[in-house]
Amino acid sequence: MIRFDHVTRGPIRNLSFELDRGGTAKILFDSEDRKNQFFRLLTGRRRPETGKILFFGEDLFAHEEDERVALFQRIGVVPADGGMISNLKVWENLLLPAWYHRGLTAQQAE
Amino acid sequence: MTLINPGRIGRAVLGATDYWKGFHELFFYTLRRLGALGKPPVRRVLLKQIYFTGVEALGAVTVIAALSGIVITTQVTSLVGQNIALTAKIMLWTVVRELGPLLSAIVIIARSSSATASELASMKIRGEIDHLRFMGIAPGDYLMVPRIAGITLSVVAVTFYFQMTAIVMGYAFAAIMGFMPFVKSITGVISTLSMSEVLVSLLKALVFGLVISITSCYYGLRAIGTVTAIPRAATGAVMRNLLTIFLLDGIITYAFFV
Repeated sequence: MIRFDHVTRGPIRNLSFELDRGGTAKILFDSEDRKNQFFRLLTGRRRPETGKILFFGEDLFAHEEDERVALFQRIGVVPADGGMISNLKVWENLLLPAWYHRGLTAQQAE
Repeated sequence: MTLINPGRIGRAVLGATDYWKGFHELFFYTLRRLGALGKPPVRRVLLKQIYFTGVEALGAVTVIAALSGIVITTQVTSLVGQNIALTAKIMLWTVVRELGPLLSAIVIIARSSSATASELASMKIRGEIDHLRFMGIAPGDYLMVPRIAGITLSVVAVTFYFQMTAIVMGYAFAAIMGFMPFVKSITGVISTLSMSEVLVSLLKALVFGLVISITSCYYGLRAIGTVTAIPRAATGAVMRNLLTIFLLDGIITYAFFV
């Protein structure tokens, strides 16, 4: 499902791994730089200098930015700080993805 | 003592180049992604922006417009006496061509530009731009497009409102003070006003609105580091906006009226 194929960028050198659907991985880094760079690569914010990142068998960076973002409708990410938008109430944060992607009204989303 | 610091000049030139490059990218992104306004949450952000930028500014704009109109009619009457035709022309030259678009833009820069840049800078620093990506929502579509559309529409509407208020209040004051009759004066303005002047003033308002909104988003979204980047984004946006709108005002005035 997610595959890193000899990916290099900044402090990340020649990283390869594969994670199948239902699989679990724990990835530890020896520095904050490497961890942050890995996260930027994984979330499609930075393009690898060499190698490929494959999501669902397709090159992540073969897609335009809005298509890469749309992939996150299929992949859940739980940030350490909670992942909320601060100018929305808690229930608005919970409803926002359904409201945005499914074209529901606010009442329908509730 | 060094009078000219080449490093400072170089940084200013590079900063300006980065700004215009970023402005260009954000402008064309917004044009391409205007369809995002069809999504209900994005429309909600648009409406909130119009309310904050346009509706909430009306109080300040009304006072400034009224006082501007009163000052102009009083000054003209004190210089040339009761001259309806000349007063109408001066009212059009000052209020419709220049003061309306400029003062409206300045009020909106003071209120909305700093607020928008601060809000976006704060979201960037707290990582909330990424939180939107993790929800599968393109940050540009949800944050930028409605703000740019909302601020631009608000500047155009507020400019028109400023011009009407300044003219009506200016002549109302003149009528109360016995300088000139109200109805005849308003009729004089309407008969002197040409459609091209109205359209050019609204074009100025449209351009100013785009500049203010895109610049505020640019400075907000480029913030990095700690919370000290937030006020820097706000002041950067305000100063850049002030300089740019005065420059563009001169260019548009020269292009259409010289």
